[in-house]
Amino acid sequence: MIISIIGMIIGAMVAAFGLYYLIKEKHDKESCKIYGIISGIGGIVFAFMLLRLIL
Amino acid sequence: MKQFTERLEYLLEFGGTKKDIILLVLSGIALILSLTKILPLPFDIAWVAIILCGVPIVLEAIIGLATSFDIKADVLVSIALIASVCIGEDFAAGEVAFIMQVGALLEELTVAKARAGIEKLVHLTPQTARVLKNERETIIPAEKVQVGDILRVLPGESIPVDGIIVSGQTSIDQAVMTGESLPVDKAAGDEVSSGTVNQFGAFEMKATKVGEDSSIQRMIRLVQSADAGKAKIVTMADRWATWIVVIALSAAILTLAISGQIIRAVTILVVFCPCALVLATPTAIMAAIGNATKHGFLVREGDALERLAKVKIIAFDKTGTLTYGTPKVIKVNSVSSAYSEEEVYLLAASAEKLSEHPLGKAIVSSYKREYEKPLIAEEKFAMLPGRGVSAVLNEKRIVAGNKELLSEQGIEVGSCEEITGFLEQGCTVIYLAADDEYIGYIVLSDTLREESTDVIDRLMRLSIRTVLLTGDNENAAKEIAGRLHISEVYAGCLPEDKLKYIDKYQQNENFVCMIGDGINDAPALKKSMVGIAMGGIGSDIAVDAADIVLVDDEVKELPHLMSLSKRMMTTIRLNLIFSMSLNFIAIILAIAGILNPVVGALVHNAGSVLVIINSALLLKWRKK
Repeated sequence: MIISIIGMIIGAMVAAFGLYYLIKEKHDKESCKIYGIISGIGGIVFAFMLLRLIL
Repeated sequence: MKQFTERLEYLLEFGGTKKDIILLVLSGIALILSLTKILPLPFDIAWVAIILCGVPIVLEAIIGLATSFDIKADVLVSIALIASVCIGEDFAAGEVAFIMQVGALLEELTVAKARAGIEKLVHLTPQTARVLKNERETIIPAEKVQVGDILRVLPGESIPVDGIIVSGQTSIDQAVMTGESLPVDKAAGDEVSSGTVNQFGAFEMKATKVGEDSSIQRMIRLVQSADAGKAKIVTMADRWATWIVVIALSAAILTLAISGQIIRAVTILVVFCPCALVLATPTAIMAAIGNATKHGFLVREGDALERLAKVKIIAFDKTGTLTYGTPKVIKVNSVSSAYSEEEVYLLAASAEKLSEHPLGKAIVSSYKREYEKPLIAEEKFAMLPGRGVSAVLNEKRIVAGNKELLSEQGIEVGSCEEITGFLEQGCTVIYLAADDEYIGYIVLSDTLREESTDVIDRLMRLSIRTVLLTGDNENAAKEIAGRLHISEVYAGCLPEDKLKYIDKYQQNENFVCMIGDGINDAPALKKSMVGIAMGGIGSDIAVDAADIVLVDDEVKELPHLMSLSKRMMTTIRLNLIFSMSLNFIAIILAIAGILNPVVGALVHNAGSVLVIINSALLLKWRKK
């Protein structure tokens, strides 16, 4: 359970980081793409760990 | 105590970068041998890395703590290193020390050498002055000139103090103050500035501002004061060092208290070491600098690209930056039916053949480039300082110069709408007369660089505002700005004006990148967030004041540099989030007892390698 919670925290942090810079660098297409991917990875890690915790 | 620490610091810095590289290579080899256990030695060969890389870190940490209680990343590394050695984990200790030293070396390589621009500016200050007293000329040190003294300045000499011309006519090269490429004609009653160069005629002047009040001294003060405000590079690991140390020690002590296992506590200290964090910034900067170099930029300051990523406005100097900085003939017109345009051009070029004036030289070179025909042999050539030239060509007396010269000769030029238009655009007009008859005129202008328009358009597409800051007159500035679609124009700027405008923008968080080439741009280059100088045509002072130098003087790669700086910041951020996530996971695993110090150190290694690979991608990066 602890690992799932920590995984969720890491996922949420990565997603938040990605989203923050995605908004900040919205004028630059390439940056948007990179930060979009980072947010996605963070989101997936968060969702996976959440599912692991629930199930 | 102070003497001891100074001596210790001297010993640590002894040998410089070369010594660091040799020690790192030896340590790297020792760590590989320790991991593979090839050599059957009575001790762990990782001790070579501990001594060569670890001891300097521990000493630096002690010096920092003892002299200023400065907690940096090296404090935590020292604790982890000593703890690892105490429990016999020599490889982990050596590996952490090795990676920390690699990071330190990379950082050191990115930081530029101290600059000597101000010293060069001081050398420009005229050392002596010719003072006239009771009809006698005496040479005295320039700092002893008093307000009201009458001075004589000969051709080729720098003007020692600010003043007003009382007799004589000449042309003054004012590039040091205004950046204008063309000498300015001066006569009695006109002001002259110290540091500017008298080009042709001797004249006498009255001193009005001397010593510290003179223009050149004011410029030196501007450069010095502008430099003081710039922030220096601080690594992410050092910025957060206090927090990292506190959290790491707390986590290690709590784990030891709860689990009772010292190996877990040491593993936590090892994995907490911010190795990848230390590498995240310098590796990306090094790779970005390598990329910039390939595109003609010499990055002189390690953190210049970091600062460039924050820039919202680019301020251009006009002459020499957006234009070539050298005059060219753009129009030849004949007003006499007896002479064709080509004949007017040939007569002007032949008359100016021996001229030392940049305008005269420009007419000759433009003619030769266009027609490739021989010039007419001249006789009785005379240079009339501040006005023009006269010569006899094919038994005809030719006079070429400004309107005043022809008026003095009793030749009526009259007014012409076309000429007025050219003058309003900032062009220079040379009038020509043959045997006291006005026969035509030649228009000269500085020309725009071919790539300038495209560069400004591409910068605008990157959401960067462009501003023109120039010492030239308003008409010339507006004409160029109009052609380049630059809406914000400040003309007639002295060095302090450029500084003032940059300061105004930066106070509102609109960070400015200044691009210039002249000595007059040096204070603005220093004051701006990032200064970029033209390396080829630019003065040494401007180059020394700048953070980045354009090696081939071409601004066409400027949009690439702007994009590269933003991409570099993205890479740094990715490195940071990756290394922090990895550390976080490793810490949890260490608390849970899943990692031991050696595996923890290897996880570190993997993280550091991935950070380096991600940074290396910047080397060949180019915006699609």
